Parts: sequence; C-alpha cells; structure tokens
Amino acid sequence: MNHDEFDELCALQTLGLLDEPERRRFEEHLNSPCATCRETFWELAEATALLPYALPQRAPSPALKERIRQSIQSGAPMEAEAVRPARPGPGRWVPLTIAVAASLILSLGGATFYLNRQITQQRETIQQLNGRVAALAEQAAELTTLIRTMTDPEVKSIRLAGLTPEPRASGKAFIDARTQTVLFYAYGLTAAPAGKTYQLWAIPKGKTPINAGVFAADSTGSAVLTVRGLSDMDVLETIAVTLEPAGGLPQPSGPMYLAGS
Amino acid sequence: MQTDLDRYLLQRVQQKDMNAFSLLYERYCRTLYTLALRILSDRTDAETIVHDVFLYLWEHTDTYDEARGSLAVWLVTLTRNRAIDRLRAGASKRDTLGGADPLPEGLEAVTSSQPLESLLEQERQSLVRNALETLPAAQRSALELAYFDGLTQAQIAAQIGEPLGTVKTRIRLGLRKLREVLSPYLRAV
Repeated sequence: MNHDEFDELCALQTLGLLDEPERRRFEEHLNSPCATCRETFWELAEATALLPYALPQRAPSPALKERIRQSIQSGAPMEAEAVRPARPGPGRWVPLTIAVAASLILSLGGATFYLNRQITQQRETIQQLNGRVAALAEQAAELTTLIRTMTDPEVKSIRLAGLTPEPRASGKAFIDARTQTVLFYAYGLTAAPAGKTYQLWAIPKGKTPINAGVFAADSTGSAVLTVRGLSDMDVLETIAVTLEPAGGLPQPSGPMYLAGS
Repeated sequence: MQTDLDRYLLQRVQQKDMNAFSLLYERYCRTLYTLALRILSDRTDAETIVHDVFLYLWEHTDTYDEARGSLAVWLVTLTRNRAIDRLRAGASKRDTLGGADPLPEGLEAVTSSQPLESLLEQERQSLVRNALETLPAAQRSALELAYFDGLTQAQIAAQIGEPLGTVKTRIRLGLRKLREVLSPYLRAV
C-alpha cells in the first residue's frame, strides 16, 4: 500500500467510514513499521478530534458531575439513568452562583496543588540525578586514575598473596615512586572483627615498615586504598596487610593477612 | 494535544484519585457534551453519553494507549462512537415515540467557569472554525455529514447526489487540508 492509498483509508477511518475489509487493510498497514503513516494517522485523528471545538461550547447540567460521582461510588452499571433537567426557578440563582464559585475555587486549588506537586517531584528527581551524576563523575575519575596507573611503564606493581588467617584473599599494589603514591586493591577479605582494622604497610629495603593507612573490606570482601606522600618508594621492597586494633598502630603487631614483594 | 497535565491527571485517576478525575471532568465535559448534543440533539441523551464516557474513563483507564493518540482524541472518539451508536439505535424509536428533548432555540452557549480554560476554549474554537472555513463548502459539508450526522459513505453520496468516489475524495482532501492548517496546533496544546 502506498502513502496516498493509506492517506485515504486514514481519513475514512478517523470518521468511522471503513467497511470491514478496508479496516483490516488499514490496521495491517498501521501496525507495519512505516513511521510516516503512523504519524499521518495520528495527526489526522488529532485534527478530526478538534472538530467538536468548532461548535459553540455548551455545558452539561451541574447535576451531571454529581451523578457520575455517585455512579462511581455505588459501582453503578455503565448505562445509568439520566435525570431530565428541570427548569431552574428564580430561587436557584444564589445557590448556583455559590456552587459555581466553589467549583472554580476548588478546581483552581486542585490544579495548583497538582502542579506544585509535579514541580516538587521534578525538583526531587533533578536532585537525585545530580547526585547520581556526581557519583558517576567520581567513579570515572577513579577509573581514569587506575587506567593511567596500570598502563604507566614507570609504575611498579606488587601482587599480594593471602596468608594463613585468610589464604583465599589476594591483593595488588601499584607504586609510583615519582609521585610517592601507592594504589592498593584487596579481594577476598572477611570483615575485620569488632575493635580491629586492617592496616597497610610499605616496607622499604632494610628499613622499618611505614604506616600506609587503615582500611575496611566492604560486603564483597574488597577494599581500595590510595596512599600519597610515602617516602622511600624507590627502594620499596614489600607491601603487607596486618590486623591491628581499631585506628591502627605506628608499627605492625598483629597477624599478617596479605604480603607481596 | 497531549499535555503534561493530562498525563499526570490520568496517572492519578489510575490510582483512583477522585480530585484528579474531577479536574479531568472540568477540562473535557463541555467539549464532550457539545459533541454528543450536536449528534443526538437531545440534552438527556447527550448527558447519558458523557456520564458513560467518564465512568468508562474511571473504570478503564488502563485501556488508554498514549501511543495511539492523546487523551483528548480518546475521549472525543469514545463520545462520538457512543453518540453515533445511540443515534442509529434510537432513530426509529424516537420517530415512533414523537421525539426527544430538543434544545430550545436561542439557548446561549456556555463557556468554562475557569478563566484559563475558557480562554483556551475560545482560542481552539476560533482556530478550528478558521481552519474549516478554508475548506471548499462541498468538502466541509461531506465532513460534517460523516462526523456529526454519522452517515455512511453511501448515505452521504445519496444525500448530496454525487458518486461514492467523489464523497471519498472530498473527505480525503478535506481532512488533509484540515490537518495541514491545524498542523502547527496539533502538538502545541
């Protein structure tokens, strides 16, 4: 079916004038991937639906809204009996005016309420998205640092093996002597017992261990630590992790969990 | 014509929020009633149609598919289809019972009680009337006979004394022109 043919079927369909075979052909084409035809039908349907606006607008009786409300509350069948409107007597004008004013106030109040809620919800969404963007930017910066470090030929890496307390644990440290920075990753560590913490040590050749900070493993057993300003990185020989009292100690005292040279 | 407000109100109606339903009623009751009244020429019948359409909206919001058109299109189409069905079903009955409750001559048109809605209604009315006036009288007449009087293509052909093909052409050209003229407006409201 070409676009002209479909155009004609569309026009007749929006007016409910298609016979059954034509309607089937129309539906078939409408459900095809032809976006132009769907757009054509959508616009014709919209244009046709505007036809009632050309008529002088008339209002139903004020009682209709209440009848609909009652039908909803009573779960009435679709074909509810409509009450033939009585001619309003002179005494109806005052209550009617009050009713119209009340309806106006309620409607405007309701619209304002909904629009305000919509604005509030959208602001909350924007705040959430901003928070998400900031978190993603932080993650991106971390990943960039990691990639740069891992691919830098000047950066040394040390693999750490799990020792007796946690033989399945492992770790990896990237050492950049130029910036005196150590990037450390640990895997497979159980959470430290209460009152204890894991502590990282950098041990230069022939020197005492240097405190490189304390850390906790997350729920997956992983930990990431970036340590800057460490001295003697050019002669660094060993990286190790011990379990120490919370807050850490100046020198290692507890069992060693990870070590690598 | 789908507006964010319609979309939001519809979501609330799906959650059975009567206030949202009330606002949708205020937005569309006049247009739907006007359409039903034009087709049926009877206030009681027209109100019954509007009653049923809004009740359907309350109970079957889930059957509305935004991909197939705006809420306004859905409501107008529901109203027109029900009114045309009632017109066809009741035509013979009304003939034998002596007529329905006709609209009194000279009854003034009523606009919305909400100032903004009223302005929008006037704006829409003026746009659509102007658009219809750009059509040749024969095309406009064919559209009105089909849309408001619910006549089939064959009935229109018989009424205006023209071949079926001419009726189809007039309807196609008329609607295409209407769409062109109203095009900037279709997505703007």
